[in-house]
Amino acid sequence: MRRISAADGLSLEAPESVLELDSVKEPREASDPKQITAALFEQQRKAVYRYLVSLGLRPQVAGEVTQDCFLRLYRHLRSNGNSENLRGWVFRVAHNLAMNELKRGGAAVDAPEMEADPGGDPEQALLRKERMVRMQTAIRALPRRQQECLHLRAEGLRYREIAQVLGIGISSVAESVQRALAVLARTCHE
Amino acid sequence: MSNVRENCLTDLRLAQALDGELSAAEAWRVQLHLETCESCRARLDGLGSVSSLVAELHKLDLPLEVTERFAARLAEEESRARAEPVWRGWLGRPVPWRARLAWCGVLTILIVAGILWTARPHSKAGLRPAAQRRQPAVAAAPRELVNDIPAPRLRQARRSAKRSVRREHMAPRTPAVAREIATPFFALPFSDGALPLDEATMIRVELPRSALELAGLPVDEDRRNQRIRADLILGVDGLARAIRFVE
Repeated sequence: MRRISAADGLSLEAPESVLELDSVKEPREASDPKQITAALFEQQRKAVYRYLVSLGLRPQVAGEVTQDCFLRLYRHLRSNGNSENLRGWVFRVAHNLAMNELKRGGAAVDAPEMEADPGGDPEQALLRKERMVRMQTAIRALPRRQQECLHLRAEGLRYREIAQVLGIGISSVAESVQRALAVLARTCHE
Repeated sequence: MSNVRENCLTDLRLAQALDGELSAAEAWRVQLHLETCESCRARLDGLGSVSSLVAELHKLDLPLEVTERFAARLAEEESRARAEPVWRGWLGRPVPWRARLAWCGVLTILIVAGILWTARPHSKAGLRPAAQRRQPAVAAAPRELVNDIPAPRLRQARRSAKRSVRREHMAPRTPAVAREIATPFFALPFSDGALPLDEATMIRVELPRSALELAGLPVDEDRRNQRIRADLILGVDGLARAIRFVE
């Protein structure tokens, strides 16, 4: 758990899920482009892959695009490109490549299968699955921009980074996330 | 959100607090507000739960073979990159391709500018003696010869000669041709002044040096028979109206 501010002894604990994702560190200490790329791939590959699938890419295509993103990162670093905020850079490239793939028809026909909960009460598992299907349907019904903001936020990107990835203002990001959350909250309570 | 009060924190401010992007003073103010505002606390919890909420929907992992293939491709990319020659700058750092392209552009512009500069006519005009620079046609003819031609005819002849000289300069030719002109045009005394001059043509001829006397110029007795080149302006009747001598 992380405190928002500890300057005066007061404390507020932010939800753990965000903080775990928020604590991602970029491999700045490494100077070799290959080392930086490999380290960032290790840290961010799942997040990038999940984001690409959430945008609607087929899992196989998403895997290829993920590789492409990090290979481009390697070339970017080798050509002495800017090494600030590499996570944001990777997500921006991933987003653009995904948009190109979607235009070329790389979209998934069906939603990715949700994993069954191993063990536990079968009735609870069924209820959970039903809730998940409802949520997934609700997310798909959201406007495209809200979906993108929501998924990027879920992958731990800061609002500022999301704004850079999508090329929009930070206020638009905040508004999109809030609206999406409001819809999802309503769906949960139904 | 509908239950947000006027003095409540904005969504952006809450998100910035979560992202740790506020200054200590701002974060402290946010914290004070959250202590007393249940609505904002609920919104903060909602923001924080977004990742778990959505991540639960996609419990996906990148397939292992993709990770392995990426490692192989990265190694291949690295060996290919090492085989390529790397442009290095002053400090030994690799030069980005944009910088290389910019340098190539600058060099190309400089080379083209240099070629154009050296090829332009009269590039050394300032260094030549004043007598060899472009001179007004017919202007320096001896007064007694010029007086033989009626004034309107003379002006017409001058204009015509100027046109022909201008045409010569506009034509793509070497500067050496321009440099060979030695004298201006002199009106010839035996030409018929009544005939029009506006469609005059110019021809290059070779004459004995004694022909300089026609224009009232002094001639060295020892070189009277030497050949000298001259430009003749011919009127529509085919008769010579003016002459200039070239080196």
